[in-house]
Amino acid sequence: MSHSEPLCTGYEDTAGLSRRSFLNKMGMGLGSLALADLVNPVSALDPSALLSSTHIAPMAKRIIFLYQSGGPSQMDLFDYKPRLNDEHGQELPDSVRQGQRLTGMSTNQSSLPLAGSPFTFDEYGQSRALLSSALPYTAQVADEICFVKSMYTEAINHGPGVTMMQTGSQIPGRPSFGSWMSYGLGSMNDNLPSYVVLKPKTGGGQPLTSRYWDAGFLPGKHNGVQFRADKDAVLYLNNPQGVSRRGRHAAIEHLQELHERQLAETSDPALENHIAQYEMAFRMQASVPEVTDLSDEPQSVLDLYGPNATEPGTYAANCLLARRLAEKGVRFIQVFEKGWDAHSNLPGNIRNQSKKTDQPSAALIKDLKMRGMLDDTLVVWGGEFGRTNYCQGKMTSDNFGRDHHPRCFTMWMAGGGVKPGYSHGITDDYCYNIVQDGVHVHDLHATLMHLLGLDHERLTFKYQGRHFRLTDVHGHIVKPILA
Amino acid sequence: MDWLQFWGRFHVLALHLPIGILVLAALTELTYAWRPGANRPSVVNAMWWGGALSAIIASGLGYLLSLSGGYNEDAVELHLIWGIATSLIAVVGWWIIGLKARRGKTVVTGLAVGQIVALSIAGHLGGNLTHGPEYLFEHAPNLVRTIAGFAPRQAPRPPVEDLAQADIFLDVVQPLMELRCTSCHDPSKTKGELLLDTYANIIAGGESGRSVIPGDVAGSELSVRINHDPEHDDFMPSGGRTPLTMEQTLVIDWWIEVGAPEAGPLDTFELTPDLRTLIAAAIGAADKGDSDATIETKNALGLPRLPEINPNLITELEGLGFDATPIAEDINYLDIDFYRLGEEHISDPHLAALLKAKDHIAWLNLGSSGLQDAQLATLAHLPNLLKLDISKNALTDDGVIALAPLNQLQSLNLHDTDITDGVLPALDELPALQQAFLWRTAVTPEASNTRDYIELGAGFIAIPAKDDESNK
Repeated sequence: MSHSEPLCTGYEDTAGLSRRSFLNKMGMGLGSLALADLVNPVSALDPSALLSSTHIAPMAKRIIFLYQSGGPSQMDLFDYKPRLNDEHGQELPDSVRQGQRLTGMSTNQSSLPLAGSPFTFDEYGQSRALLSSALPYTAQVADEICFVKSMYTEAINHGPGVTMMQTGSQIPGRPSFGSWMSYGLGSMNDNLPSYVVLKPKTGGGQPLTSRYWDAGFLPGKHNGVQFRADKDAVLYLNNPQGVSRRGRHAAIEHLQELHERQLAETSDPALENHIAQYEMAFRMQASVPEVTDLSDEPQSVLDLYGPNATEPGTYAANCLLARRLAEKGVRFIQVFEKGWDAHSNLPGNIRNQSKKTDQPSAALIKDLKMRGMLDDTLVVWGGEFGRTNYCQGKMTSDNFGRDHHPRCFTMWMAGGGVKPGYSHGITDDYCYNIVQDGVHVHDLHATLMHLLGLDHERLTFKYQGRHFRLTDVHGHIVKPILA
Repeated sequence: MDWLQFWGRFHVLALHLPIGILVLAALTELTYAWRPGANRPSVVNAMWWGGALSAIIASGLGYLLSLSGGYNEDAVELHLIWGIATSLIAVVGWWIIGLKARRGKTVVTGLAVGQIVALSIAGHLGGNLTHGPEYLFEHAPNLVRTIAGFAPRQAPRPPVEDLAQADIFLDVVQPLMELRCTSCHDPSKTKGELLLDTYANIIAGGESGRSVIPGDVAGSELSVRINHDPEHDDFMPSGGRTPLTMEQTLVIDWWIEVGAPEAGPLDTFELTPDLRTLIAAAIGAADKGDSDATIETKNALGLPRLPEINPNLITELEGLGFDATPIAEDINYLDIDFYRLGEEHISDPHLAALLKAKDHIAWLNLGSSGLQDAQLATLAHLPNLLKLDISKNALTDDGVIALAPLNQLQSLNLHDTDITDGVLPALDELPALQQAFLWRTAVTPEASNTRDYIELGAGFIAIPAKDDESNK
């Protein structure tokens, strides 16, 4: 096949040179560009890093992001606001709302009555962290946790909100955080993808679509790989019936030879990507069953995660699997949990969600700590936004709902490089606006990258003539929360 | 225009010809003029002629070079005038002494000495243009510097060894100014009419008023500017130059707060331990950025600075299935992991490769790698190991005791191994050990309770969660 004109894809014209062949031609002189690719004889197959080393010494080598989809209510879990109880049922003052737009769901409501939390708060640990009675297990590890109570975002609905948290933009199409990390840091274990996604098997709630962990314009090998709670954790890995592993290997090797030939003629980066993925799929035939097999977990550890730990697809099982993946060198593991979107029946919703998530989240911290992994593993907990201090829908003596609230919400982090037993940022008495130390989603991204040893202003990818960053033109490292 | 610049740059080549030729011509003329009866050879005429021609060419090229800009115009003009003067004297010398043969002592001496003087002045001015006025006398003895109109050179301050004796201005504030401020705020540039080179100038301030008001941090423009958000228009250092570190800005603020003293050893100020750390970090960082200062011998990890890692070593390690990555851009130490499938174990070639890179390994993770007791003796030869994870391997006390020589080791992960209390005396002797993870070993709580560094972790398993009323 002859070399054809490149399509208008938005990717840089590499003048007939893909990154790999360029580097091969230039040799070691450009070692700093992609050392891992250069030094490894099977470099093309290694979905490895762009960087030969991180910009600064990393404090965390991997991240487990416990994504709480739907928007957990900050004032019922972490951000104690007794004033809401004092003024329960009274109207939200305009001076507090300051013209904040409402969602389509409560914009027609004639009144916005404040709703106090039905949960009691207590101080826990030596750090005297204030936590709701809905989180008895998290309370046990309060001294390991760094709470950020002043998160904010611009998004007011789930799609844009999750997209913002995942990609740094409300508009779909940018690479996800995990993909950026895979692109920048590569994998520590070339038998597993560097970005793994774990979803709940059952339950309603806002949909979680694969674009949330898509690589966008980054090479496709940086896509998040979803491990399913099923017989086959990753689909289409198994050999067809009657084909042996050896036979499969031979076929892939031959296919690779053909690809290499074509690569020599066309220098198509997408083809390099294909080769990498075929090889990865082959290696995952062996590595995935090994990592998903829980039979070597001691009962005490299973108990730590609670009664659902052995039931695939539950939050508990996903947290346990996340730890196993972290132990195998996966860089970025994202556990999604759904159902925090409590527009109505908030007290019941919080109880249910806490029951599902509280024990496993805390267990993950404990488990990592016992194994000495909490030092270089960062656990992040949070959703796309918070919830309103006023009631959405009908308010009864023991029941009410809360709408979406972007102006303040709480996230927490534990482990790798963050200050343990610390609370950052202050919201006002109504839990509506941030009074001090606001942390935007971009700031969170910049900080997480910093903890991984990356300068968020230097990790870029040129696409459509522009050097893109995860944090776009924004983002400041939140220094006070660094250990 | 490009052609003009192209030829202009030949000025620095051409200018050396008239210097040599004309000095020779002048000295030759003097020699023959002052030696009665000497027969002046006619080749001296050619010297004048050649010197004049080359001087004119050099001047012309110099003029072309000056068109490209980038030089102080006044200085260039002066240099040009003396360059032309040199050429003129050479032409006159050739014409009068050579062609007209007027070779009286007065005429010859006047022209020859004049020629040498003009040449020297033009050359000196040219040198100043290229290298800066400080260049010639930079290393001159102080007597010569004083005669030439320069301030006597100050002896460099010795590096701070005892923080308590360090001078608050000369050892703390001034080095920070020199590191990040005086490249613009010194007499050669005087940006914003502000000079930060001496104490008096710092206090005097500039265009925006006083830069430092002793005791008033918030009112001191210097503090305000360096503490702005880097995106702010008024942020200093401006133009994307390297900003001060957080420690450095805090130390400058502290200096202003205690009244911006001009001198005084640090131990006369109330130094909290936090402040000491801060100051040490601030001036330590200053050392790193300043090539004239002493070069730090330790890197960010507290390990000796090493030359770059041989890329072939990394190739070899990666080829064996290790993930080997330099810890950061400026840290020539490796972070090595070994994440393989169940059946792949650490073997002799692996250990041999690790030994080859032994000085460069700071973090090593061989968890769940099938590591054997007998292989641990090899790991004891990695002198700069800070973190070692050998968990989830069938290791016993006999093997782990061999790690005793690892005197930099800070973190040791032994969970899920077969060690017992018997290994603890050996761990006690590791001088740098800060934490050891011993969960799921035979180490007893009794033995571990007396040792601060041990993270047994079993405690978590034991705690039952209290169920709260509202949670039901």
